[in-house]
Amino acid sequence: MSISAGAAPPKLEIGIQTKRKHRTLWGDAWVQFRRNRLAVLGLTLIALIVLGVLAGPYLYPVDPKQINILDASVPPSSAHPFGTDDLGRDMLARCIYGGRISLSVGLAAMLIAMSAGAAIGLLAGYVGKLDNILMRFTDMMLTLPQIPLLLVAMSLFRDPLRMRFGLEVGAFVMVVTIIGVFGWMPTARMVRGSVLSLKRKEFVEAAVNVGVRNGSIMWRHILPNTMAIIIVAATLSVASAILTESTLSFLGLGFPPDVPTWGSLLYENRNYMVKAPWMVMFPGILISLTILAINFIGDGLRDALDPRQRQ
Amino acid sequence: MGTYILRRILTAIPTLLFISFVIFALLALSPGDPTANLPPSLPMEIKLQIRESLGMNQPMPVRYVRWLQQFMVNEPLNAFEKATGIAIGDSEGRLRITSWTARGKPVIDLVLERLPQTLWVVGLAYFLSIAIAVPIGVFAAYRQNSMFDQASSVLAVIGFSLPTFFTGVLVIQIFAVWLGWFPSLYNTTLRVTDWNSFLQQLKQMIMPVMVLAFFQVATISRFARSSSIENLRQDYVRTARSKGLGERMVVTRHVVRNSMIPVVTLIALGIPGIFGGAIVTEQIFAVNGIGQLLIISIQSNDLPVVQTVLMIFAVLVVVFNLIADIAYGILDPRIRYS
Repeated sequence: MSISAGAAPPKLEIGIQTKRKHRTLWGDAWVQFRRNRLAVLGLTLIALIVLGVLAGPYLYPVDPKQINILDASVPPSSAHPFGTDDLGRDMLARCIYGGRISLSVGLAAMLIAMSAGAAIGLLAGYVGKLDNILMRFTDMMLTLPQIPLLLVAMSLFRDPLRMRFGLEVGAFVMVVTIIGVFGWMPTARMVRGSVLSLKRKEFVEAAVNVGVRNGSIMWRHILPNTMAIIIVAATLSVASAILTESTLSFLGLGFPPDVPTWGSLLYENRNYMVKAPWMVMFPGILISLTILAINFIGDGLRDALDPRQRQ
Repeated sequence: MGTYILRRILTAIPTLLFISFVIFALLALSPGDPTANLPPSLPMEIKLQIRESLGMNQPMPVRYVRWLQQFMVNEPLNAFEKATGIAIGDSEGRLRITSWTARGKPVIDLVLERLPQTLWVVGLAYFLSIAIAVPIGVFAAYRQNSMFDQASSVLAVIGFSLPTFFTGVLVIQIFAVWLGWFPSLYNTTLRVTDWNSFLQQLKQMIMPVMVLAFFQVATISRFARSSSIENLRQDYVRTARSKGLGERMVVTRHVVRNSMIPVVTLIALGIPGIFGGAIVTEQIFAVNGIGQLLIISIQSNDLPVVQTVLMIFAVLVVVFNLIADIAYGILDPRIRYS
């Protein structure tokens, strides 16, 4: 800031106070986040993908389920920017529609994993009696062979749920619950670690002495302080949920082939990989870009929200 | 040290029991039925008899214990007898886990037929990725914030963001379709008899190994980097330098040795994960390994095979967790006494 040499000292003080912007934790984090070029790139990419997936059907009103045998397996052209599949369905429309499902699976599974992880971590860290048993349980869950078990669970419970909720919703409920149930453990561990150290801080002691109930201390005082950890974990877990969903669908055990998601598009077109690469390239690129972008954002957030990293 | 190892082994047992129970319960709840694949003209009585002979009408805890006995005692004994030819007890009357679809073949035989392919691909990928990742990680740490460090960290994020099924598709597209270097599908009937067939075998393994290794290199190199950075800041590094050791000596003798301690743990813990990744690569390249066996038996509702393959994965996880713990204890004495 530029101050003329002749300015009187008291004025200067006032000058600083009014000029200096009010800084919040999140404002600081944002400043830090913007310095990380890869994180900003990731944010831009994700914004574009989300926008494209949300606004896509209005800008590109083509029915993703419209079969047109005469136009089957057409390479990308101006009529079909992403080409068509073996039944002549438009790949761009299917990618847009599939992206809606893939992204919402990521978000919903993240919400389940985060609520479970935060609750268990908070309880284990704060309530001494529960710590041992909850962490034992967490460790055991971590040792389960994830992908194989997910595959089996999917194949076992798919049909009953499909009958209950219908094809699309049934598969959605199934995929999201299963990924969420297997995804909360790392968060629980990190939250617990942070709660253990927060518990001994003066502000918690003060709250205890004033007579605040335990529930409120956990909810009002400790939980907000673990938010930085939870947000980073949440970001990364969206990416891993999308990855898991597409892996399951790619193995034919996620969403049924008639429901396009990025993973199931790859699965149903995998036999055309050599003859018609566009059928697998576009969904594959979209999955990879999304996960990459989210991981860049996650890294950026971790640096931005960690006060020790700041200069 | 002995008590430390003993304690670790004792805590591994409940974990294994918990996992086996989850696997058993999950499949016991499933609607799968061994008689579902039999011809519908078969009378109901015979179907019921078959069910009874398989012990399906007993309460769940009994079935669990019997299954556990089959898996933990009977099958290892059978495998032992087959390998050595020594008969122990009543080897004919021993109850075996048999497949529902492959004409009553013992599941273990199915698994053993397919295990070598999986082990070759997975093992090679793992060794390769360790050999590549550790030097990258250490060098990136040594030249922190250099061009090399930044490039390798960006590559690492790309490495674990790209799903293996997509890198598989990409690799096939590039090396099999455009360049025509390697066959796009794994030839499962190939027998290695001479130099030529060995080369062919090598060629068809390169792509699956490459795909698996790419993902692993990303994870391990990141870890090796952060661990080396921590160690490079330690006092003993300054001591080593000030007593006149050359840089090469400081890094290879002191820093690498100490920073490999957590990396060894990660390597042991990552082995089950790479088997999970093998399920996907085996599906893409049509390798007839146990990952493919799992997928096939899930699709054909062959529960005994699914249970066995899952249990093998679970045992792998627990065993390598144990190895990681013990290795950690051996390499870092501080762990043993805390």
